Amino acid sequence: MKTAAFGDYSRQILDNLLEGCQLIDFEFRYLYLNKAIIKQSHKTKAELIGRTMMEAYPGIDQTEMFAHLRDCLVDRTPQMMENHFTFPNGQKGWFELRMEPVPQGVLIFSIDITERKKLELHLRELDSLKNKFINIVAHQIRTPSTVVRWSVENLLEGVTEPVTAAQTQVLQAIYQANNDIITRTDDMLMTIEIEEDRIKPQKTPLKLEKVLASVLQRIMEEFKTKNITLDIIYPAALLPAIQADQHHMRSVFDKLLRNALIYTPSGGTVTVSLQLVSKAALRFAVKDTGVGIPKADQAAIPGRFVRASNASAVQPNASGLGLFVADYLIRAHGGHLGFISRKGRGSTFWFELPVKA
Amino acid sequence: MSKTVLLIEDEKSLSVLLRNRLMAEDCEVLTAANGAEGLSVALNKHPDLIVLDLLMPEMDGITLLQNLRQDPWGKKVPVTVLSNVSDMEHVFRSLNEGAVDYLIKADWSLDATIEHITDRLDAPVKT
Repeated sequence: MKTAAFGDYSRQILDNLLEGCQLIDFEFRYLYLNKAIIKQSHKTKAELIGRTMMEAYPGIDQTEMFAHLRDCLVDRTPQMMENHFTFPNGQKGWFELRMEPVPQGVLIFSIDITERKKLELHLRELDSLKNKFINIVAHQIRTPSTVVRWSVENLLEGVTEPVTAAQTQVLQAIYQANNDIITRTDDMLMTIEIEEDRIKPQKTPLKLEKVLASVLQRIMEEFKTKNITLDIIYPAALLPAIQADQHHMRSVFDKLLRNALIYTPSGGTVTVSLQLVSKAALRFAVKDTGVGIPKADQAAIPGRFVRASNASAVQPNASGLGLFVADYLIRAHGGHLGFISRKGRGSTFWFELPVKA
Repeated sequence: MSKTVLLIEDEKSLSVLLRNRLMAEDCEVLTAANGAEGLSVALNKHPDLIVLDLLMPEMDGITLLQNLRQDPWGKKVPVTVLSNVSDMEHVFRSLNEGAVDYLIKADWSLDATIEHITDRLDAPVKT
């Protein structure tokens, strides 16, 4: 019976296949087993040949694998699955199974993927450990940053005693650097939340022009200091309120405006506009006369930690997370973010959001 | 009559900065340096508003909130969470326990934080 299944030549090939191979008949009896499957099965050939699967592995008829096998036997349809198998001694293994209907029953090919599965699991554990680590570090950084921020604010406002113009300049430098630490920590944390798919916008009816105005108010001074002209094109008519997360929208405006501020040289112009482009969509755009993004780098933006090749010359230390975060937040609101750019001429970053999300 | 704020914050320097500014706004300020102390001060002194940090020794902020909400008075007192933890799990758990606000310290200027607290005192949100 066992030799009748295949010709001698095919038999020889199957015997030496690295993949496990077994032939099961319509009564779930083992008709043929190659060398690899004997190794995978933790049993000897004599213990299996001629026996049913239920005799060899009691309870196997209750498994998902068995259901697939039955489908293959009855419906004559090929099946594929990953099988998490527990051996009678309690040991566990993962196998990738392919079941092919043949005249004698079903031919099952199996690859032992236990090692790969263990590695995958290990990798997932490491990934979660990495995220936990960053979370802890970020929190540890935020607390002293807050102390610096609030203390410097106190000094700048002359709450304790008046400060001189020269002292103010120093304090402002400290303040700015500290705010950079806070923003980057925020981006890092946001990236983890994104990776773990935990960002859920808390939507409320929002007047986008109001949010933009408040962000602009905070950043305007920095444009003036760098001698960049800031042109603001206000919407021609009142904009409809949209359903959006205020904190997320502030963050997106801030990131796009800051990018323009950083990459536009002194004497340049940045044009900001917010308008209704159709009945259904609002469009925000920031056009700068900055360094632009080389064509070769454009496809990778906005990726995680991705920066254009000419970005470091302008701003050596930045994380390349800002646009990644902005893009994600806009998509989480059902919109999309894009840009057009020419190296040396400038960039326009824009996003569109649906009015009814 | 001036209103009373209870600051539950383990970082001494932040607690002092907040306290001084709130006192300048004519608030009565109580402070506690950990959750256990915070809970006991809250239940004894019945402040008008509690400003609560989350990661603290003795008892963390969320456990404090859970305990506070068991008390007939504590059920209704407005609580503003002021923390540097920002993961969604902490945010949701705090809001579920009835916090009225969740502010990330590092993202707020001292001015804006004080303004927010005094606004809350003037027009408390019903919880």
